[in-house]
Amino acid sequence: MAGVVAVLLDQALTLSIFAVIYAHVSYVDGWDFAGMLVLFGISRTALGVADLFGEGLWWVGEYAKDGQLFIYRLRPISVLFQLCTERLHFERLAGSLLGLALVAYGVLSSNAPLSLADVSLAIAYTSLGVVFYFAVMVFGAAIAVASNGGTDAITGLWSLMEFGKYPTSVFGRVGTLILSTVLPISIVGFVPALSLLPRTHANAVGTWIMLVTPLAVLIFSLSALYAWRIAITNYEGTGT
Amino acid sequence: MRSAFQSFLVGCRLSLAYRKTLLVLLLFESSLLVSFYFLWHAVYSSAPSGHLAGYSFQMFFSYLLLARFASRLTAGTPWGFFTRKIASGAIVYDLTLPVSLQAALFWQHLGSRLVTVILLSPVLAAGFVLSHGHVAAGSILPIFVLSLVLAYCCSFYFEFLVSLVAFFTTSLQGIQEAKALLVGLASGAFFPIELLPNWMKVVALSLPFQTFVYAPARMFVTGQVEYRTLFTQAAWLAILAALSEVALKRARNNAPLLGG
Repeated sequence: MAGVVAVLLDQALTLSIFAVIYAHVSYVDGWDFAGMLVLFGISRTALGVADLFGEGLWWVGEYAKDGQLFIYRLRPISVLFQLCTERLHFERLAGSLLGLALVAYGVLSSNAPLSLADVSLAIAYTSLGVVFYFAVMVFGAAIAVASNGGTDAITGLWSLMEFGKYPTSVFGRVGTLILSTVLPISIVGFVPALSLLPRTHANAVGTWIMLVTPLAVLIFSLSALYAWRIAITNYEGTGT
Repeated sequence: MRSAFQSFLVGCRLSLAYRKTLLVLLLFESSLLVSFYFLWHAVYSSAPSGHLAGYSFQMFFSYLLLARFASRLTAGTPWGFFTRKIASGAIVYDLTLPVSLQAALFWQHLGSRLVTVILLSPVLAAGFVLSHGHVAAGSILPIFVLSLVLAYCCSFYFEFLVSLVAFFTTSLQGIQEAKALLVGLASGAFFPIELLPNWMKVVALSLPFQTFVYAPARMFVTGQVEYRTLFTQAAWLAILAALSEVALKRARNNAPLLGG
């Protein structure tokens, strides 16, 4: 129960900031309140699903520090698989449910004409958002194992996810390019939201983003898995 | 005085012992500031007059930088002062200290907070320069520092008060998360309280949290010496200190001594 409360309160802070912003202006970079809710809702939906399996990865650094990770390595199953399935964090799905409610409210309020193709595309992009969140956790965990560094690495990397809560276009052209290619955070909310909202949003930023970002997510995810493999292969334990 | 200095040094050392955590904090604050810069820049571009509740963008961002500084100075601990100690039974050492528990924690926490804000200062200063920050008259500086001192004291006693809940219940996550949300919103750590809708503004200004961040940051940005604000901070400090003293007495009688 406490975990559910924690997830919901975390979302409440960002929603409050949005509420304050839209009490003063009607649009932010062309995005109205409904659009912002769709974007934020999608990002929370994807995060909740990624957290269901990935929450355990946050503690990998601690396991590496005290040598516990070596026990995982001795078992004849993938270490990553063990860590992800050891305990499923169902309480995190509360965030996904609230996220879905926000998406539904936002889409209905925006009155955008939606086709089945649009919804399917949004689901596909959101699934890639889940993959990206998970890849970030794996990448953070790899750094934590390589550096025996507790939870700091993954927490530090995670702080960059702040950029995923807002429309990528507010960060300017260079920001949009970086957040869609180098570190494709725009996949967690911005890109899926473009397929659910009026076409003006997608046209404003350029439809290239909807093609390039998924590719960048795949490259990033493969890189994260590669980094994890190197880190876990080179882990020698603590001798305890 | 010597024990206060020793406690202060312990706080500094504890903070410096976790250097990676400090680096993570710097990365988090930098990400937050960069994302907020662009977000609020877009918000201000949409504002018809270029002002929100009397704040220009320069004033707003300067407020935000000072608010982050004050927010880090007055930040509490994620689990309070006593949760882990009660769980392990180590609380018995705290309760039998030959010095005042509150005083020891006050100085230790101050040491830890000061190290954090000193390390954070270059990031905030860079943000100030890059955003062409709004600089108020230099004469406000002593009053600003006094307001910051009062802000730290108020926040410490509030944190101490909430931490004492650990003596009465082990279900603390919800309480701590609710505290973080309430303090985050009502202290003005993310935006000036004037931006809140009217009824929320009235509520926020009647709570002690505004004395943690909003009071010093606003005074510096507007450049106006407001003795009323200082008086409000002092009044909340007296109330919170008295409450925590009473609550500590009750907690001592209820101390669950675990472990062994």
